[in-house]
Amino acid sequence: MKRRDFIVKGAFALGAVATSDLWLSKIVAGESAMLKNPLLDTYFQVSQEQIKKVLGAALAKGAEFADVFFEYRITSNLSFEEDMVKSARRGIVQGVGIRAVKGDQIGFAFSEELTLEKMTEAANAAAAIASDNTTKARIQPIGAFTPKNLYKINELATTADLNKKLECIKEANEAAKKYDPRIVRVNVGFNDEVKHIAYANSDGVYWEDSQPMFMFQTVCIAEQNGRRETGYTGGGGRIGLEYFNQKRKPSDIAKDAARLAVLNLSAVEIEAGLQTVVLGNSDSAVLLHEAVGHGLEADFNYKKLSNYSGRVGEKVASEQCTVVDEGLFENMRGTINVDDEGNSPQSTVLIENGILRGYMNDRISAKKLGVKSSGNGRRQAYNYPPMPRMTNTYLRNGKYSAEEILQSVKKGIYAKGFTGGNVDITKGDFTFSCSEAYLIEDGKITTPVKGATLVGNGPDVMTKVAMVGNDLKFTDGGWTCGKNGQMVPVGMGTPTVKVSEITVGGTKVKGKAE
Amino acid sequence: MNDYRNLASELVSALKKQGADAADVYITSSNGFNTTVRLGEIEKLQQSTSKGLGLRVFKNGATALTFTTDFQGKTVQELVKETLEIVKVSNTDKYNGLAPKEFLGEYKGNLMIFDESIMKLTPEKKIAMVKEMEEAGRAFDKRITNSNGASWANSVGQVTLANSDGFVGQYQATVASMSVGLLAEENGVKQGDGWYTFNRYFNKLASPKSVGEEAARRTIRRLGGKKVKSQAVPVVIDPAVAGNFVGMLFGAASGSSIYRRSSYLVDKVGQEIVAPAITIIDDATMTDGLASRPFDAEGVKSSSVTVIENGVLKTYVCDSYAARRLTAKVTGNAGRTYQSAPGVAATNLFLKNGKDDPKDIIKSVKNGLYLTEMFGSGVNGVTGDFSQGASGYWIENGEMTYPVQEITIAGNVLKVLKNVQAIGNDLSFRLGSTASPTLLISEMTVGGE
Repeated sequence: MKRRDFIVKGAFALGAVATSDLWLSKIVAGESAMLKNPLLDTYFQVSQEQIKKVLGAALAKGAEFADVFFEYRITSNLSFEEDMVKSARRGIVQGVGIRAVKGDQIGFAFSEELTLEKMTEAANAAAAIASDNTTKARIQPIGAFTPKNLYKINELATTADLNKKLECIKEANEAAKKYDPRIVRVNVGFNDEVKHIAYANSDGVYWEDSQPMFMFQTVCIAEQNGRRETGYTGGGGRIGLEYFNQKRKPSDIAKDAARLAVLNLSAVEIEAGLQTVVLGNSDSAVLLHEAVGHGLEADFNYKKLSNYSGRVGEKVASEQCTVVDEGLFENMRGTINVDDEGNSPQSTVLIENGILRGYMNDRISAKKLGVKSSGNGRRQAYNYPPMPRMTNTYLRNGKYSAEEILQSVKKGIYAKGFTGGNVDITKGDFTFSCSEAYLIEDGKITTPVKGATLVGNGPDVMTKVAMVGNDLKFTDGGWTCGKNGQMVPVGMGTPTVKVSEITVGGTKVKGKAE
Repeated sequence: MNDYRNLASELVSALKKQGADAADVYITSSNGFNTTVRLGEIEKLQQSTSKGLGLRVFKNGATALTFTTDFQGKTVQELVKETLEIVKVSNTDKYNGLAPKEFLGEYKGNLMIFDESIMKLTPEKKIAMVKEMEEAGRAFDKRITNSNGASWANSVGQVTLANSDGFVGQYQATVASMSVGLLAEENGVKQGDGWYTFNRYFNKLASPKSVGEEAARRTIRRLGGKKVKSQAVPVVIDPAVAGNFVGMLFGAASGSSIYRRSSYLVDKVGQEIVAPAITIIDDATMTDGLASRPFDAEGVKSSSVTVIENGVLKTYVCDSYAARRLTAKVTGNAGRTYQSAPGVAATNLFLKNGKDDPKDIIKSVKNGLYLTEMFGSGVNGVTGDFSQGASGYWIENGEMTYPVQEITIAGNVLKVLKNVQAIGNDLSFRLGSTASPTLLISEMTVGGE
């Protein structure tokens, strides 16, 4: 058994595309602004009095802190293949998670039924984490909250006209088919969701948030002389249908998927071994996510499980590296108005000019380490307890142009697209897998290479970052991060980066004919 | 746990009454408990009760699915109407539909998937076992310096399915597991690993002490890891990893990959695709199998399916949609959750035992890799090419020597399974429901320095 934390593109993206009058009539900010706890009243029909009773039950055996997390998630998905809507799917998941905390010990229970009886039952189960009755936490009155809105949306996908969505899908389908006669199959998916959350804890913190998510994706298969290859492209974030005007049109996404499928038809096998690697901007941030991100989540550090434990103030990367986690960028996939424990996300500098500055904290780890929560307490859903997670993690710009970086490499690999990665946080060994990569010959990008895998050790590879570009770009949706069985959407970004050497997996061995 | 057969049947009738040509209702529910102990202290106690239902309809050849966790009458009735609204968005696909009636039914043998004794264990007993397991691991060697936590989990899950062709079925299954993660340290380098046990029956779990000690052994043996030079060498694949290759092959033989032509096994039924020594079976009726069940997600009676026999691909594995697309046989391989429509999935999938003692297999290798882990998403299901991060142990003159880390392993699934030179006699389902004995591959490319 080996616990590895990981990231994947596309495949695990939460589905969602709702358009029904039934469950959409309830929705949306504005109209319910007159209510004090609009989401609580609209979606959960739970009163403040009931919440107090439930928190009281969770604290009854001596816990020092308790919280309740209500969730009402509307998801929907349209899947288009062989020129038709193959399936339409829509659903509602609702539930409440109740947690009692004592030190770093937690009792946790959840229920899909929001009756006082069922919630109290769950609270009693959570309360059992404490049994000495020594502390008697008092429940603070539920406070007011000031809504924030980092997800400004013109046209929420969940309430959008279904025909408009179908037009987007058809536009993508046609564009992919037309791209090249070798494209033999196109699959277009339109997924969106809205997750309504109400949160209260025994310290009197109360929050509501409606978190939208939208993902549009195309998969193409190209075929030539019996060889088949695939290409995937997706885009989205906490944004509405205006995405297609502001960022990429459906046809842009589809053409990119088709391009990748066709490109891979001519990809060649790669030589295994140590190579100089130039990582393109944007999706290459998967390196940061694996090489440093997970290792800097504070739970791994106060437990001394991470290779970065106890190393704040030490040099852990090349001085060209400044790494930040920031859940504040508007409309980005990893952005949150509030974390799942009622704390506001921050701009947290993790590594500054190569020096380790701090970790990403949730409430428990912050208390353990004697710092403030950085607002990184996140959970997949009501039926999971929160833990420290990344939001949008990025590497700040350096001074080189992408061209200068490429020109400095005589022979190497240029890696641009990735399907995912994972890391063993204890030793720091990571793997990530390319979906688009090329040879670099004499400073120029040349032949595409077959899906290569890069492996290395996080702390080691970060010292081998030889050049950092000035072209920082964030990923366009799509990434989902997994840790201890919980999946959360994340964003990330990086400028072009040169790593002086890294092991590249391949099927060819130097000097040996295949 | 509530009996949901009536609810499921009533909802099927309601969907029909609202105009569905055909419909099915899939309900899952579960109760579970898990706890984590770290360094002797309880870190987490969790109790869960969970449920959800999915409504699926067919109308004029189109299909749609809705789902909810809210079982209240009002919500569910609205959902029924809603499902028949949404289906208007979908297009007619003549291959849509329920599974053929003649395949519906329940496997009547005793699957041994429900153990009442698990439900009777007290939390105190579970915590005591977990503490004993962690303690045994920590005490095993002084190089064990930390714990990533030791956990117990048990659950009982229930699946209920009803469809408009008259099928109504329900079954319950239990599972219990224990796992522990440990850290070892030597010369300033930390290594983590762990071990686990799981079973449908409490009395078939490995003892807490043995799991803890195995976790410690596995953690310690990682110390002193090295990189190696890139080279093509014979590779002995540990059963923990060999199952991955069986899983990859199953994915390529899945009817849904075939009709999409996104597989390297298109038009290969009846052909020898891997070494003749290889037979691969998917058996949903295995006694106490982790994936055993009386019927699949479409109500198809469970059976044992031989996918590859003596190297020859015998059949594609199909749910009813894929079977209709390919004019092939439904194999009872439909899997789903209440939130998703059925798709092709493996049950208890394994490569049949060979004759060789794994020790002899290792002894036969002069210079090669003993592969214990593969990770990463570098598997291309369309071509069978894979390139993944890996770790293991170097074999020299038939002996396991030092651990190797930060390496890659790359190749093509079919090529690897064509180059199988020996198959161990150590098949076991202790590690998961997809399993394989030890395999010896004549040559694979290891990437390193």
